[in-house]
Amino acid sequence: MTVFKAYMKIIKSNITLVSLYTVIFLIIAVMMTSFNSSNRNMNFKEEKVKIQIINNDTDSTLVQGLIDVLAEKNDIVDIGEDKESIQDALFFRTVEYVVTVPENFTKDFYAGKDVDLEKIQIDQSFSGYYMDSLINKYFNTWKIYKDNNINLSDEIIKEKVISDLGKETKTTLFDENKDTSILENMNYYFNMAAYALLGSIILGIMICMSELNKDKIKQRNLCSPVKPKTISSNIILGNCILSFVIYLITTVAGIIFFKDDIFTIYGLLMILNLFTITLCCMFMAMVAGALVKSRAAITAVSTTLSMGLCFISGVFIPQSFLGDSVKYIASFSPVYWFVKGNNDIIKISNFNLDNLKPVLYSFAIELGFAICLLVIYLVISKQKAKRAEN
Amino acid sequence: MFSHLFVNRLKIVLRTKEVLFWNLCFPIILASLFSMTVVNTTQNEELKKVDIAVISNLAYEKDESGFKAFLQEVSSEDNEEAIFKLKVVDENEAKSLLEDDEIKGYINLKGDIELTVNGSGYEETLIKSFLDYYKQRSSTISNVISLNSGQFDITKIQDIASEAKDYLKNIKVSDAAPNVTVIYFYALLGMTCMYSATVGSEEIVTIQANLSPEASRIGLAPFNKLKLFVSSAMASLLVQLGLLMILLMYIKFVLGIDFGGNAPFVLLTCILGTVTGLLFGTCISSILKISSNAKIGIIICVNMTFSVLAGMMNSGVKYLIQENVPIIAKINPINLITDALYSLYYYDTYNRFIENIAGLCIMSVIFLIITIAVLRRQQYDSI
Repeated sequence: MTVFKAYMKIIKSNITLVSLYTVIFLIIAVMMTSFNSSNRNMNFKEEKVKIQIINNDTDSTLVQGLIDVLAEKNDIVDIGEDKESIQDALFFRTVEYVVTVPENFTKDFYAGKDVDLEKIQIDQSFSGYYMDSLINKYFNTWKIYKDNNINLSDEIIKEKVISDLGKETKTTLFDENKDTSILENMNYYFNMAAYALLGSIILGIMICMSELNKDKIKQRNLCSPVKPKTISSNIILGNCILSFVIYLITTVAGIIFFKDDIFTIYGLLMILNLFTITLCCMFMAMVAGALVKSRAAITAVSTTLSMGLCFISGVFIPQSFLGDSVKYIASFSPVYWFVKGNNDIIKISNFNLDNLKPVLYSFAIELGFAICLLVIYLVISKQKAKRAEN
Repeated sequence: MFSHLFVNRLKIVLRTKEVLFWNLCFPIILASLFSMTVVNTTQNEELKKVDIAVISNLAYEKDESGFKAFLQEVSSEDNEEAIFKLKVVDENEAKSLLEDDEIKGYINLKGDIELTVNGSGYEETLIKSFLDYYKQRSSTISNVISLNSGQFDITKIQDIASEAKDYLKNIKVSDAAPNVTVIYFYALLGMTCMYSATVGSEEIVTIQANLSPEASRIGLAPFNKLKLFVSSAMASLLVQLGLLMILLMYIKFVLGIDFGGNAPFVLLTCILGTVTGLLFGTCISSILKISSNAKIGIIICVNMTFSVLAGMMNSGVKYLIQENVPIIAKINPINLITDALYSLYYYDTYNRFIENIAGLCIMSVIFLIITIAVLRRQQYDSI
């Protein structure tokens, strides 16, 4: 177990760097998960948008009705009406949508003229599309009442319009016991934690392997009366322990953050999925460690691999938003199947074999990747040993 | 002597593979990844039709309220603007399809419209929005008919149902609209500027006699340490700026990211960012008494953290930090560089830009003072 003890000593002397990666990125994962739970703007429980309404027209019933409709489901903010204040507010996102009612709007609207409100919004945002739809529905509905009921007072029209726009479809979740927001947060955390896991494991394993594979150290080991197989198995044991410890830290952090919510079938499946990707990371790191010798290159490879694979696999940008070509390329990475597995887990309502098939399929592919990477590592090691003999 | 040291340092830095990787290859890889993932999600891609089902019960089959016709219209294959793919199935099959994720929701028409979904994502929101729109417009039509005491011209219903004017005009408060995608690239540029810290760290290693044999030899030379530091730093800065310019041109001309029209100020931001990064590296290296590789590792880790907090992985994080922990936004140099570039892109005036540049200048001065304070008057016993 001499090589194993040497492995542990190397880890100990590099513990600062490896633990820094793990801790910092776990903290970021927890932070982004807690922030993300309050910032999801795709939720069909519509999120409140921060809007400002500037009224340059009279306080007509038409305009008051608009303000009432917008205020009901959004946060009305007052950030000033001058250009610089609006610019600043949009820059710092203290407002997301600014709508200005121009002068004489009510008069022109009733006269049937082609009038527009002015809007300023964050480009390409969901909140912008949602607000556009709400405002247009309001005025279109008002116009319908006005054009078809000539004698109706504005107050009654306003009442009718607000009542109409308040009509919502009764929507039920297929499984009402399923708390989708907690599941989505768990999904987000485990995806982010995979990045921390990937970066730390690859870095830690590559550092140790590069030290043990240094020519002189390797030659001294080969001279010793210890079989090369034993040396290899010591190194693999060290890799397993390092990976498992990092996996445990990531899981425990998740348990502390989510508490009882993680002890459901969903949480346990995600923990199992994380274990599977840990195996893949470990073997991936071993392959990289066998190929890369330079200490300077280690940080480069670990950062590039972890960030690159996580980016294209849907860790930072949801998979549903990625293009088909990106998803095709990413499907050659085990991280893609890990993220897909987590996405499939949260969709399940009834846990039966049929519904678990997509999840088990992802697990199987990840294990397949792990086996392939192990085989590649063994082949590379064998080739190197043969070259050393020659 | 100054020029000799300058040229030698230039050659050393240019031949250092780590410098080329961290300051050119890695950012180009990341920029390309951003372009593939972030930019493509916001371009106009063909919207995929959402799979839905409706339960084929008596209420649906005999529906005369127009809901059946509405559903068929928004899912018709002949309709180019159709956004749904509709299946008409029985209740058990609908539940099974939903469980298997073959549909995103199913509709049950029993008295009122009811929707059942299995999640709360974009597709589910879209289905609900359409059904809400139908309910709201139907309510309006019913009210209009009843308010007209039954003397309503039925032929007008079609016109009412399709009333959909756009009452909004987009106004630009600045030349460039607030845009989420550019934040990723600006944060990447900020990160690259700060990666000059790796070279800054190496500067200290080649000057401090206790850190490397080269530094011990250089320490023997009758040359002022400050001049030595300045000549080496200028050579490193020149290389960093050259690599940053290549990255900048790649992002602007190959990936097509807009930086606004202020090229000189963009360059100024990059130069100042690189100087801040270099001095950050010298500061870290002079304080920490660990191996060179460990210092590089820590610098990279810290830079990645700063980048994440500046919105490089998720632009929403930047604004959440600003709202909840604004002090971090103020002391994060990558965030300052990102904000400086974004304010050049977005604002007509330079107030915000000057604030961020001032922040970077203050940081550079602080790092420089710490570096000099640690390095000055250090001598080694001759033994």
